[in-house]
Amino acid sequence: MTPDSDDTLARLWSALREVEDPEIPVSLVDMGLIVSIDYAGSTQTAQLKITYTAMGCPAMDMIQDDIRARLLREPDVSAVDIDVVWDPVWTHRRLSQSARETMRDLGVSV
Amino acid sequence: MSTAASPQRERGVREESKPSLRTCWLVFARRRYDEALYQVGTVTADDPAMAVIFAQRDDRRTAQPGADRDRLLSDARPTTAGLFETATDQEAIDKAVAAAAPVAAERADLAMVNTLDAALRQPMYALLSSLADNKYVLGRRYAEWCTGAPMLESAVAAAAMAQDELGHARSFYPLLRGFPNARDVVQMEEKGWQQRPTNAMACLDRSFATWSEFLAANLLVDTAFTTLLSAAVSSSYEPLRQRAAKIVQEEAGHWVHGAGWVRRAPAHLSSALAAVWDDAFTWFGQADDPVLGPLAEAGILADKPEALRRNLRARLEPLLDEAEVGEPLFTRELPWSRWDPTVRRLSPAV
Repeated sequence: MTPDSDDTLARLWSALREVEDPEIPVSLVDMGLIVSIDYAGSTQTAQLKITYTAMGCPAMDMIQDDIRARLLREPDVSAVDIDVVWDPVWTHRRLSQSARETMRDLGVSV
Repeated sequence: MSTAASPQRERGVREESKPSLRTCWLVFARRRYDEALYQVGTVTADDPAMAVIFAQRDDRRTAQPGADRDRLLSDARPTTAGLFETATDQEAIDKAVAAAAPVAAERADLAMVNTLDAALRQPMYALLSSLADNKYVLGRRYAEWCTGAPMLESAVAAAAMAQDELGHARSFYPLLRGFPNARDVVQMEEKGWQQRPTNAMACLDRSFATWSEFLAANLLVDTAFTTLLSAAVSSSYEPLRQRAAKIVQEEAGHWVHGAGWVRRAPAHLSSALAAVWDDAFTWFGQADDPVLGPLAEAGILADKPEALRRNLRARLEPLLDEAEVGEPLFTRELPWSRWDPTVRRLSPAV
């Protein structure tokens, strides 16, 4: 991994912190939905593995659209590949501490 | 609190005061006079007479003649009609076809098919299509009780379980595209997944007429699928392994729901359990099953058909014995003469 790639990855993670879950005002990163991010510099492609809290999530397409829309605003991202994975199995343990606090403030038990 | 009694059942209503414009009544029922009354739900009405009328109508959803969702599928394989005729306009069909189209997320899954031994591809296709169709239809049947369930919590449970099952089906259908020589792929390409002969269990062909039928499917049919998927959480076939682990996690709540109702109203469920018992227990096939047998031999499933059946029984037996409804069920002889292992359905009894 080159320093430039490291910078790009850090920037992509930071960008994804701006993308919120459609139902709860918590970023996808804090929700634990982003499993991994890779960047292929030769094709300027951001390669993501994501998961969802539930297989029946009605917002799957919306979340993926939001991810693409945000990452494609980055100057060195021309394409976004998203693979949906179910391993690791999402549990509330993937929530960040800030996400837990926000959800409790909203009355959601976690 | 006496009410009009039917020949089959006597029921009563009791006023439950609530701070609302209308009164909520608890509904109790029993089959014989010498049995204890047990609560079967609630109704909202202005006076006891109306409450009785609502209570007598509420526990049975009558099929409307000609309603597609209550149509029984024959043993013959229809050439064009699927299980549901909701997609009757071209726009809806186009959407279904588009939804079945491969997206980037499934590319890795499609490539995985080529890692399967050639002799395992047809069994894997049969298993995946059976899982997809069953979960899709079960989700639809659950969803039909989102309104009209005995109580609000039941309706919420029905909606939640429907969403889970439909999500599971949604995760399985795209995997079928990785099998280019599969029987139905041409029809699926043209019309979408639901416009083809179903591989779902025969007991799911029509809507659940009563809440008891809903619960029987919840407890037996749903648990049969979970039993198989529990044997796939360490599968060597990655697409199946990933989905199995997540589904088993989500199905824990489905079991709690069904088991809870069995403990509450076991006698109410006996006939409904018997009606779906054969479908649930034959679904794993016999010892020489051409689908699950090879997959188990190859290590893709941890258990063979007989072991799966034992696992299902082990899950159910303590609960059903506690409810004193297990004995006649566990000694039933399964109707293997009506079993089709390729589509994994029972043909109608003669």
